[in-house]
Amino acid sequence: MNQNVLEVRNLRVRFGKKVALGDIHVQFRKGESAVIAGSNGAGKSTLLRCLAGVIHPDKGQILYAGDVPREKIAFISDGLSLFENMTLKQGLDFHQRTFRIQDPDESFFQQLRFSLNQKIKSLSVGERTLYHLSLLLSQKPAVLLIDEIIHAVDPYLREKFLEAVIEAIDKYGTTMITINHTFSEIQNIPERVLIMEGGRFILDEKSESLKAKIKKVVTDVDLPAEIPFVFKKESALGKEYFIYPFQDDFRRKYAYDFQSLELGEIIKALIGSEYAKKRMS
Amino acid sequence: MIRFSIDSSSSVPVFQQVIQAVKLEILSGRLKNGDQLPPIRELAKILKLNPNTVAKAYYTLEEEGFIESKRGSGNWVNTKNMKLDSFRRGMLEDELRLFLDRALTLGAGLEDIKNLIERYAANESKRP
Amino acid sequence: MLKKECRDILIQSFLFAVAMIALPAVIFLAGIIPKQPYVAIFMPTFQSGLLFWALFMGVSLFSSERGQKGMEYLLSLPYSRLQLLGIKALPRLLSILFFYLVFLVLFYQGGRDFVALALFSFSFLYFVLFYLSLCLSPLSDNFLVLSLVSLFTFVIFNEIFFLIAWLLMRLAGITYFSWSEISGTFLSLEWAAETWLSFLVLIVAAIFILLPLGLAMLFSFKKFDVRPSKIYGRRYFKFLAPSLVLGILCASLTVWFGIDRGSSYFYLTQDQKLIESNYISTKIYDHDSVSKLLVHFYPYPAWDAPPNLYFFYWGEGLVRLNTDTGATEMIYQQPKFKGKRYWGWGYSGRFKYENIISLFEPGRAPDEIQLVLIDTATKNATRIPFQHDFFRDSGAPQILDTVVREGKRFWLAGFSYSTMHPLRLWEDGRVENLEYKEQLLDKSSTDYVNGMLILTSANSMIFLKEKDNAFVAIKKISQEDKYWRWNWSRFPVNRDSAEIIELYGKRKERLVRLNPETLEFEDLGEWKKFEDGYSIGIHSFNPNEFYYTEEDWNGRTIKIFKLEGRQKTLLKTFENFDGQQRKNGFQIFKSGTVIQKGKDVHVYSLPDFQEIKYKKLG
Repeated sequence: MNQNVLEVRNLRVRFGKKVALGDIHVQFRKGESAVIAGSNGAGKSTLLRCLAGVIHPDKGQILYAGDVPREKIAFISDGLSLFENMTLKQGLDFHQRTFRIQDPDESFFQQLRFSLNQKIKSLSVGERTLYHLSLLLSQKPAVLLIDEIIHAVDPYLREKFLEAVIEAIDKYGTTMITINHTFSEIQNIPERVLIMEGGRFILDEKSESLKAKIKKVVTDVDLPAEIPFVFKKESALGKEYFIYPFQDDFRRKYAYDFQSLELGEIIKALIGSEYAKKRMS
Repeated sequence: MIRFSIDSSSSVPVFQQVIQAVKLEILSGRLKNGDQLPPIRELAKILKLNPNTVAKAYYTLEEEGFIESKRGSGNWVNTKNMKLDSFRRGMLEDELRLFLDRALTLGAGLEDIKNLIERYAANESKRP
Repeated sequence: MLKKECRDILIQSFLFAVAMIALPAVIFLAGIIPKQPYVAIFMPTFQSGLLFWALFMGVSLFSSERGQKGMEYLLSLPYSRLQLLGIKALPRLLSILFFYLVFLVLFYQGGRDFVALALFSFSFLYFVLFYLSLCLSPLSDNFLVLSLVSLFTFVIFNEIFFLIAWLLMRLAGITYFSWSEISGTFLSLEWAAETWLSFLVLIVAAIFILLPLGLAMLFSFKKFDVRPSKIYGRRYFKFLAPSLVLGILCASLTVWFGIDRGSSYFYLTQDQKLIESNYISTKIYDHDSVSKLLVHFYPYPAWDAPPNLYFFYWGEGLVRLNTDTGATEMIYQQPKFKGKRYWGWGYSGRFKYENIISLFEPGRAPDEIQLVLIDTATKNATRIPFQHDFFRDSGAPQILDTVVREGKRFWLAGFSYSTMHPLRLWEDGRVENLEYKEQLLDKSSTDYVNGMLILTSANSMIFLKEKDNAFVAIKKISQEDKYWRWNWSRFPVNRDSAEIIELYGKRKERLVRLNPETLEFEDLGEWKKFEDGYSIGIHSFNPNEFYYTEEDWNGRTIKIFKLEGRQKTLLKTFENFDGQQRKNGFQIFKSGTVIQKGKDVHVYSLPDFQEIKYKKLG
């Protein structure tokens, strides 16, 4: 039985008057990979920052398992915040010393073939992202928190990074929580999908069961009322209905072609439905 | 070597796709008895999958008797206990079911499908 | 992380030190300020540089992270917020302390003459600026804003501090300090500590007001994160407000209980009324009653003429206090002279004869003084200006005597601790220099007794008598004991009494009598105890009525003797009087003695030493 590596209770964060996170409850198991998606401003980055200790919540608790010290929590956000006046070598040494990494895993770092004497601030955005990620991986992290950064990196290196993460998950049992918009390569990594909206979770499902529950139907006519859908898109191709929750006997009962979707499309549809709700209210 | 790619949008769960791919390799003879499967980590890296997914697939394959995992050295194909023929039939039936589902949604009837199959089989046997 | 911080601060400190040495060197070498040694340019530069350094060290707490966009990274490091604060603050504190020690060393090795700020003021400003800027540093991302806010906060803190002090002093009845004298800047602290509050009380009160800023910061910093500074600021002020109120309350209480009201000074009038004076009030004890006046007299009157006492009221003028009725009347209002107090209020100028009390005030030029004659009966003040080079160099003289000769009055004036000759100041404004041929090598004290001028310096004593309108030496003694004194009295010499015949004093640790005929010293015994200014020694209130008080070496017993000719007669012994204790005091007046043992006060009449009971005393 897998223990919880991280438990969040009653989390509440405000930015002045605005409620960024309102009463969040969630648990993550050891070795689990989860993706948090949602519309912009939903509170995803705030949540991740709370998990990293960068933001202290106004109310609530973030509890890590007893065997996860702060040194084993790795965090990167789109600010790519580092002490950029340091050289790469200094930054690496500093990170390893501060996070007390006994024998750091520099395999990813070495693949990048950086020249160590340049200053961090002289790196391009993509290089800096990879550098930062290599710092995190050298921590042999128990928990990896990644916020929307991978888009700046070129596809080749993106793949290299992905492989490094996969290796970490296998080697160290890393729990990975990532915020991601662009899906493609990463699609099959997360086992769990959480969607946030307005500072709250509106969905929390295993990827596979979510994929089983959402199907798409393209048709010219309106769907009968018995088929529930979460989102509707109209285009030149006709009407696209995103059926949720899908039941297997729909295939028997109705003649529609229920198409399976990949995770990225599912999330897009769910986010779209939230926008639609906002427009209507 | 296992050659296949994962269809992210398939209704078949990913780990099932892995299982089927491995089974296909074994049935087709590309993977023989005693061959070593790629380590979980490597396969996960190549396919860009969560290692848990690959692990689950390997575990299931072992349960169904297709592979054997030896502690410390990895996963090995073990077909000794397998009844390949009956298994092949099982797989065929799965494929058939899938095919039939799709065919029926096209609006075809069972009779039409049966005729189509017979015509196709006849053409195939004519090939040199 | 600590190593990194220490390294960074070390580099910054090194650069600062280089700048502190180089800048004055440049000024010195370029000759911008001529004729000044390097140290004279260095010390004030260093001192002001240090103040900037203190401000900078506090304000720059997070400037490195903010500049490097490293704030989020910093907060993601595996340290608690308080640990981070400690890691950041510690090296800076060490740098501050280091440079302070360097400053102290240089100060005491000769730099003290060249600094602009006194040590206590500077130290206070230095550490408080650092502390304040440190406490305020998380409030803003803008370096300039932080600096200004810190400075502003310091000024506000200063004003609050002095507002409290002033309000409480008023409440306590101390009304003679004006606001402008109290308020202002930290520069007042030394003055304050000397006059009405001990250093301890000042520091404790200051801590009470300053502490909330630090506590609020510690409390709020636990929740410090990457949200905009405004949010942190709101939380900070939410904690600060109540704790500051509490702090001000505690500071007020500290000051209230710390105001020195306890030390009373006593004076026994000729008609045996006891005057008790402290900063707040003056009480007049009669046998059965006490009356309290909310005025403050420095309790050494210029003239005791029952039922009236004449006091110099500090900064105001000459006041007559009627001890029967408690009525006070300003006999003479001292004019303001460029906002300064007159040096004429010192003891040397005062002289009383007939109904006149005289004193000196500054003239219109540096070499001019004015003799002010205040008629206590008519309340008229006559001014006679006198001009002489001596006044420019030595200030106002002492009045030794006044005589009417051939219908004209003159005042005989001599300088204390000066090599100037005595003068006759005539009532028409003429200054007559009474030169004498004797050369005094040293500054001497001047006494006038029996028509004889006695000049005592460190190495000689000269007796001069008037002859043919000049002073001629009749005796010269060389001596090594510069502590010759006679007729202790803090009261001004006055012409109430007729000629004094006897002279008693201390010479080389012996009680001696100066034989008036032979001018020889006669030994009367061991002089017990060193001078303490007013209680031990020789006292005379009537012509030829001399008392000598003696305190034994342990300060436990006081003995009072009567001196007549060569005879020393023990009149009374007071046991168990611990003179070493600051709160204990012994005073002898014409009508009696006052003994203070802490809060316990006893009065005994002279010469019979009967205890005088005051119903309301104690």
